[in-house]
Amino acid sequence: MKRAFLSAILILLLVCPAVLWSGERPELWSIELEPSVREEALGGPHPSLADDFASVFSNPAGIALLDPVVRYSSLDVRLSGTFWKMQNAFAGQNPAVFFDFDDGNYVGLGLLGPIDTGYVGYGTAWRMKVYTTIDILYPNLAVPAYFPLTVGASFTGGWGTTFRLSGNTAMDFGVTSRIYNEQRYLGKADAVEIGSLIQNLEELLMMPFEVVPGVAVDAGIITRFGDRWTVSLSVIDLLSLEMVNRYSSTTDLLAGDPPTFRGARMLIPEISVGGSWHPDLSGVTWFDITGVYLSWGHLLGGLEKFPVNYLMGLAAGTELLFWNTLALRFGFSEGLPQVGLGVRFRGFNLDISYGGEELSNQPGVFSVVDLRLAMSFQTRPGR
Amino acid sequence: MKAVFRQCSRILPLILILLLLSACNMTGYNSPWSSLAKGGNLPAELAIASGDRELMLDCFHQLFDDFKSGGIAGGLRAEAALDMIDLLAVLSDVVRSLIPYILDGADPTNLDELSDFLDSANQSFLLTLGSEQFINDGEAAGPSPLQYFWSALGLHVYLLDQYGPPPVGIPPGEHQFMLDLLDSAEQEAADSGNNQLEAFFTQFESLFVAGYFPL
Repeated sequence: MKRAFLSAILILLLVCPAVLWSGERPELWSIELEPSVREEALGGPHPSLADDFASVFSNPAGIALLDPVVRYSSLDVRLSGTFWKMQNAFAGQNPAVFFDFDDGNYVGLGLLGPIDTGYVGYGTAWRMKVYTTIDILYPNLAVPAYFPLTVGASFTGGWGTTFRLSGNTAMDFGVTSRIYNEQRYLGKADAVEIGSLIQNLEELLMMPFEVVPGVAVDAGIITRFGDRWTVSLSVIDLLSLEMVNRYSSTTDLLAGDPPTFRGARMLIPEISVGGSWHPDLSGVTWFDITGVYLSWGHLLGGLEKFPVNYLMGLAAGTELLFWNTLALRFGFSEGLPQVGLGVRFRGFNLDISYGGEELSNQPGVFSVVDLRLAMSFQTRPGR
Repeated sequence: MKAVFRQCSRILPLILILLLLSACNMTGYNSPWSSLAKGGNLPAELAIASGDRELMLDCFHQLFDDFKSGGIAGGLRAEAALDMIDLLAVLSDVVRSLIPYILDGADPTNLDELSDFLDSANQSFLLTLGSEQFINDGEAAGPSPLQYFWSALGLHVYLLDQYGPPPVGIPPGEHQFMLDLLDSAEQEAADSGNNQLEAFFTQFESLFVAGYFPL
């Protein structure tokens, strides 16, 4: 009884502040480099998937259980765009047409690392990383195109613990705190202005620029029923505070002029619930199913400026593991499929994911394809 | 091996359902999803990027309703006005025929696509919007040269519908507002070094002053 009460209190502590929230998320028209490539191939950051170095930062509850691991470095490259738009393959369009000006188009590049280092073990965790993304959204020749460039760095520290509830039921709880700083170049120009920009490249410095430092707290719970089933909850940006410093142009920033706008904002928390099933294959040495994951994320998406369709949050995924070295991954999120491949050899991990991403707030409105490749070097002390 | 097949067969139905849902979206049969969505709450840029005219109209009507009811205020009001201009620019096929004039500085005397701004009841979208003062609000947001152009074109249609062919019947104040708008657009084009656009606005202004309206 006492333990059930503890569980209820923890869940309320996580959900209540989030539900009462009235923050906002900035519109950047870009695809972030979170979650990790492995999670991406499994359909996204499932709250029940917190069993490797990167995924414990998606649900900090995983910190409580993960065996010690040190990450030295990682390089994660993302290429996404409409040039391989999934619908086009079925609509008779020529996928060889790289950038068709008659339709809306998007192309994006992202790089996470090589500074991506950290440690998880014995209920504690930390991670430091740098990242860069550039995205070009071209809705139509008649309206402005957007080309934001983001450069950021973050440091995360976390703690996790396990509560034994009853019998073979246990609850993992974890919390992380992030400090970050992002610099965002907010490029925007219509067809006429782009013509002018090409002739006068220095005009690129006339675009607005933002410097956004911030702090955020994430938290999560995973309740394990024996070795086979879990139910979980994660809250990203449970508490957050961003300071926005906006300059009317990059030139102003370089000249040391003060920002034209300075203000604080809080973000709407991302609440996700989910579960997982881990099949019993204990007698098989060459094959394993790591888990089957099902989740419903972004539960407060309806509070955003452009409310997110709740079906967008439905995600599922599974990972098949061969000889504990090669992994095949299948996932589904935002109404689109994902596939992936992973190879683990001693301290070296190679992960590839390929699948759909939805840039809008509704499934199937503006879907793009996302290809990611990540390499990481990490060791497990004590093994 | 039997254990592997038994466990895999348990997850097969889930995989089949997800494959079916994925196939629906990828082949464009996503109306069941979209109908559950709040269509009007789509960002204008992404509604345009989708190329789906129905979604663009949904988005436009939602913005227009918000605008008319006072559901949005301040800077957001001007932003919504600009989004509406963008949506109209794309929804009316007029952009296809006008872009060469803008980019190449071609002779705009053959402009004859303004009727694309009229709906099936021969009512101008921009007439309604103009009466709601959206052009003024849109102008206040500091539009780009192309948006200036659409504002000018919108005002042009509005004035035609409201007062008949100029210069007869147009109140001097509105006539002057139109000229000021074109002057600003011309100045912005000149400042950004776009000589072709500057020339286009000059031509457009001269047509306006001369009373030539090719509707």
